[in-house]
Amino acid sequence: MTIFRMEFHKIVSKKYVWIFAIVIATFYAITLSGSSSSSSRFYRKALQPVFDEVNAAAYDPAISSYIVEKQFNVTVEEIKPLLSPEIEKTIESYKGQTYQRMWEKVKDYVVNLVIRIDERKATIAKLEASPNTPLNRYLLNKYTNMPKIQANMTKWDSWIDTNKSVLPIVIAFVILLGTSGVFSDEYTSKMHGILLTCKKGRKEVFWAKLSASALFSAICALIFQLLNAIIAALYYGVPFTNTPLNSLTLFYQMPTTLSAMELYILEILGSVVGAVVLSFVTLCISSICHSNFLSFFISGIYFAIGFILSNALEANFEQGGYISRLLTLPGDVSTFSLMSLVNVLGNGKVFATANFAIPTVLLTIVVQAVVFVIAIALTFYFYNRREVIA
Amino acid sequence: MKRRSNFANLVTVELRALLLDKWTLMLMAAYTLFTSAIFFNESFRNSRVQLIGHNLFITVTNHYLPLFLILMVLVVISPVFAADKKDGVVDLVDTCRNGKVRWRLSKVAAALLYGIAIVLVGFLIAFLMSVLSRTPLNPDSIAFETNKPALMLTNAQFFVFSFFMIVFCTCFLVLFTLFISSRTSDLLIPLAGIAMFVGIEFAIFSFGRPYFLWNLNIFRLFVPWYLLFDSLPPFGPAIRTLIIILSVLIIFSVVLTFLTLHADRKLVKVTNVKKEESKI
Repeated sequence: MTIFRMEFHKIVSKKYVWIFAIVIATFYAITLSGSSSSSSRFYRKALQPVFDEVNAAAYDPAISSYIVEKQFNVTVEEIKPLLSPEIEKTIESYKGQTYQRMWEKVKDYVVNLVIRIDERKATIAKLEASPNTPLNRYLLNKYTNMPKIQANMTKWDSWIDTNKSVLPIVIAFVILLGTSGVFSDEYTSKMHGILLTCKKGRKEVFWAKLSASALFSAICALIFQLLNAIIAALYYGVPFTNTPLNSLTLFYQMPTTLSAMELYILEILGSVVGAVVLSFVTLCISSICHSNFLSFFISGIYFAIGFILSNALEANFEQGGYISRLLTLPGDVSTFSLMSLVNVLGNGKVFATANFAIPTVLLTIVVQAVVFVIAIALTFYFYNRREVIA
Repeated sequence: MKRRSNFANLVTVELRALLLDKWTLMLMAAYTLFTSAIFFNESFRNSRVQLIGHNLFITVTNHYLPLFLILMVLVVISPVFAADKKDGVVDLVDTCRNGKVRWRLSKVAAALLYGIAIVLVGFLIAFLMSVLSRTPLNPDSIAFETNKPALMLTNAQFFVFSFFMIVFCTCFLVLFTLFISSRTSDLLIPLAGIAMFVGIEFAIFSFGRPYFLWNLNIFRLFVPWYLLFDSLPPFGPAIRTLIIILSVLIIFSVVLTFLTLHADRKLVKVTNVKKEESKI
């Protein structure tokens, strides 16, 4: 326990890690501050009380068939008499331009929801008429079991989007800074040789270093997730209710049955687990390199490759963004994807062959578990090998 | 005369070490491979490369070359001073004939020459690939003519403009890296510091906010075609933006050079005080 405490203290006592963390956190807060317009926040908040009425209107057969008949091209005046009086009562308290804009917003919410419901029905009909392949069966199962789509008024879009790319990079940067020197600093100071003269050798130190790094990474991920939640709550507001993921613009038409809250919680979990895996990969590289400079650079490249592959090959629904191909698979199973989860889990990505179709997120977990085990084994091997040579 | 040749010799030795660094060679090889894939592999080009200004040479030099340049500066320039401090070489320099100031100056000069050299090689490789793959450079047509730029340049003029902007920006990054490197003996700090600076600049450039920092962004020079278009006041029109960015970077570069060359002033002062004390 004492060795573990010492190792953990060695990591957290590096002043520059915290200086970099503070600078990067400040920048993150500044960047996020300009990302939401005050008008959209105002309308969402003002229309929050009529959320159920808007959803009910889109699912009303009379209203939806009228909108479909008009080919989704309806005016406020046309739709107004069909809507619940509760909506009118809420909007009446606003005057002038705001009043008109409010009605436009309500109309847009209802029409967009009708479009989504209609597209979902069309997708199901298309899949039922398609050949009985594993991929089609998988997609049909997802679309038919999908929860009812709701109007996109909940702010979950912004909350989930924050975890998509910038936050995993920020977390990874601090973890790389903290853990890249764990073994290489020991080599530089010749401590690894001195430890051979000690009674317990280096076995306990090895496990203490591993667990201290894992704890540091997990704490880092949690601190930044907490910071992110505070900033998001300040800038976007707290979502007033849970909503199916399919209601969000970010996951338009994607085959996912999760709710926004489920994905957000899984994102936090993925972020912590991914952070631990990344720290172990960094430790592995650190156990090979004599310099923390080199281990930081190589670990950074390892993480950056996953980030670039995952983002460069991202596609929307029409481009088949829910299908993992051999080209996109390296990015989909990367440590970055585990830390983000928006791409693989949020988009409901699936890897399909002629015989089977499996959710890509399972592949991501399996591959990262393998990376985790290999990283520990290699670190152990390189550390002990050095011991024998010494 | 002899002293000058000594200095030139110092610069040459430092420059050779930087140019023949394994990371320079590896990254240059990776850039060559990537460039050849863009110029020679049509399917890769069509599926993965977004053409800028209907010109492949502009696309490569304005979009992909900066990434390789940044990586080279990060990994090759970061240890220039920090590694010497870590190894204790700094303490030996005072005992040498050239002294610390000339030693520092030679390192700064070599690093700046290295910055110019890698940009030049990057442009030459792209040019060579254009010629070998018979991709037209269209030197006489107007760059970005369809987008109606505020600064009308022919492609040939734009190539020269791009080269100087990228050289300028690379030199600024080199000086910033040297400054951090001269202040620490830990190799990780200049690398992480510059990586963070570039990352923050890139995020501001991508998100377009805060607008004031977007206009004064280093990526405006690394991706010079943006400079052909007007910005909003007070930064617009385009020529004013150019003058503002260049002026700000020149001021910063001068300050950074001064601070880098005088990095060990405190140490000297402390030593002098100790000497005085011992005399007393």
